[in-house]
Amino acid sequence: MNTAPDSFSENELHAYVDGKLTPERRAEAEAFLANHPEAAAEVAAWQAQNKAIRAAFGAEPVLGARDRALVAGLSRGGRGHTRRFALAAGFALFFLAGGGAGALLTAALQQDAPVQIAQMLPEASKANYLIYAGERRHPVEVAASEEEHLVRWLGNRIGRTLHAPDPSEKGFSLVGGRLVPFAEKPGAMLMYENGSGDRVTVLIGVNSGHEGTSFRFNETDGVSTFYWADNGFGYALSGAVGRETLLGLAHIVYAQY
Amino acid sequence: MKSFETDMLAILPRLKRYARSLSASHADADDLVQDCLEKAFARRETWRGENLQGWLMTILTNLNRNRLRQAIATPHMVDYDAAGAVAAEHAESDPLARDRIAAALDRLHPDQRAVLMLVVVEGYAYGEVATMLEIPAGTVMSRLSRARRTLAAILEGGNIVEFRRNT
Repeated sequence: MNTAPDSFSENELHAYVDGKLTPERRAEAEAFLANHPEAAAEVAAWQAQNKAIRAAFGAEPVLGARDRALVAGLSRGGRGHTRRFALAAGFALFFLAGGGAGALLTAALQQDAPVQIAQMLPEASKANYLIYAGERRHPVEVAASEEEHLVRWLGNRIGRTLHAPDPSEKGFSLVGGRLVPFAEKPGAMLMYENGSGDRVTVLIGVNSGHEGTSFRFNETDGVSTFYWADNGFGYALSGAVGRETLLGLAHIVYAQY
Repeated sequence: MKSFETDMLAILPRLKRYARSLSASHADADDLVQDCLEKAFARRETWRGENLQGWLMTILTNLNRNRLRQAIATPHMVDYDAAGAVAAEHAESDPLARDRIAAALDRLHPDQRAVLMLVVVEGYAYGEVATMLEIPAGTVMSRLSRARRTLAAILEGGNIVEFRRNT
């Protein structure tokens, strides 16, 4: 039998809970706990936590074909084997073919894409599109006829100089814009329309901390979205138009910011 | 590079398990693992050829911290199908108990959660965790302590009444 120690350091109680004590010290811990109900209750709670955590997360996931393909693709140096880089590469080709900002894209490709943007931008942009693009009479707060006021106002609210990109070469013209919430901060939404009434919304929101990301494409419920982050801002274009049309517009927006 | 790939595949199940233990959903965990692998392959020249698993765990921990720092202002969306799949896959017989511990873990500071998971799920020694996360041993212990006390407070405040049927 061990004599029960009068005190036990908390660190050693953690080690007891995690099974990291020598058998001798372990016996001493048990003797100590038998005489100290408060410590014993705390230790019991920690043991219960460990049990619940292991029950919930202890099983090793079984690898699927996707996991193997991912590793194999990366191992071949083929970044194009993952969703994200496939898209970015496609975008880069578009730019190069267009004689555009290939160098900028190369820089964007080398950034680590923050996961968070992927979750927020496309959903916010798609929601903006679905809510506002269908409005007949009030799609925007400030119409294109007051473009100068519009961009100064929105620019002030999101903290940057803003101008409305001009995609007239693609047959789209500015409808106007409005202030929208994005990630609990003010964001700017601009709306464009072509001759056949197709509308596309552009969302610009503050994303401090992000130098830049690759370009991503997302299509859900018939709404296409291109989005990226650049220089502290997140950008997204959404519309129920073809991918190629949206890509052409994204090219123009990217080149003008 | 064949062995790098082979070693990576051997470690991948544990890496996925660790990612899941840090994430609120399987989709989040998958994104985290993919980002981690991309980073690891991009940086493989800097890997010194020892303890690949520890190296990957370190990368994944750092990516997760950055991700959560950015996520603070975002309301979390739970994919219900994914949540169902989690419950079905694991041995936990009571899905409510699993949801309860997972929800409590989601409220921990990411640094504290990482230490707790490395110790409890991955079974690392305290010293190994300190090396992996490049923090002093004392910091490992204080994070572990805070994680456990916070978790206890959350679970206690959860207003859960255990009940049994009389038989």
